[in-house]
Amino acid sequence: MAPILGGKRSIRTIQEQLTSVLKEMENKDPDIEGSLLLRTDGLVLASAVAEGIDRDLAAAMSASILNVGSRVLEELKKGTVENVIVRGSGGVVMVIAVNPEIVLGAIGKKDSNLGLMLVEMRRTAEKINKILESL
Amino acid sequence: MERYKLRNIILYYLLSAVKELGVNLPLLFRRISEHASKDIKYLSKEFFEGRMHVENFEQLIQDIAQVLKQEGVIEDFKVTVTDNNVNIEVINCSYLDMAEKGKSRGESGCPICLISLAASIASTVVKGHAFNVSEYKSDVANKKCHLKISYTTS
Repeated sequence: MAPILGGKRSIRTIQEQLTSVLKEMENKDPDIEGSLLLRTDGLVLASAVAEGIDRDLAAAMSASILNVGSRVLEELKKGTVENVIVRGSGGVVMVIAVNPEIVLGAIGKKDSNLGLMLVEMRRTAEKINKILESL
Repeated sequence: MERYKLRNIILYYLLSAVKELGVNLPLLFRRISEHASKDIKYLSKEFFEGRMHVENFEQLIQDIAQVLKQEGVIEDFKVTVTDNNVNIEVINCSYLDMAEKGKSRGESGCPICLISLAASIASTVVKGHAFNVSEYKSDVANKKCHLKISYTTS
């Protein structure tokens, strides 16, 4: 796995850029309460989550959800994973693959508009890919 | 020794099943490291006589490898450090049967390398380090494993 947090620019600058993109996503879709950007091995690249949430554990579980989804699709010969949605009585968690190594997770309110949330997450994924490609 | 061989092969099956179910093993690493880092005072007292160089990543890897040697987990080791890379050569790791089993199934060695797990714990303890195992080679015939760990400091 490539050292995604390496490169010419300082890690802090890149993290700030990525965090800003996450916050922008939350501003555009008020249903989104928090978000995380991580590698498939659980390393957090950026986050914008409420206090009281264990960021590292939430990231690990987001990666895990997507990894398990990916394996299920692989085993059932249904292509590659695009997103996984976990809907509960109090809210929703949506996880999408930004690229094969990066995962974007978002925590949504109860009765979130899942379509809009997914569209906004995909737009954000594109922005993230551009930032990472520029490294 | 046969007892360890059986233990290692069972461990191999366990990790293979975990991997098959979609759990990313490096992800599992990080969670194990989180748990271990929370228990670092106990680990330091129990295995390091209270002396761990928790402020220095390279030194901490040396410390951990030394303890693994003392505990008989590995026969010997060599750590060299270059620009943001730690190279570790491990001689006769007691988990070599697991590497052999992995190789017989076309894998590069152990599903999880114990030494890189130790490095992962070290990077979790020394905050501000993000680490990758960028190379892992297991030469079962010569009882040698080589790990190259790259890390970044924020």
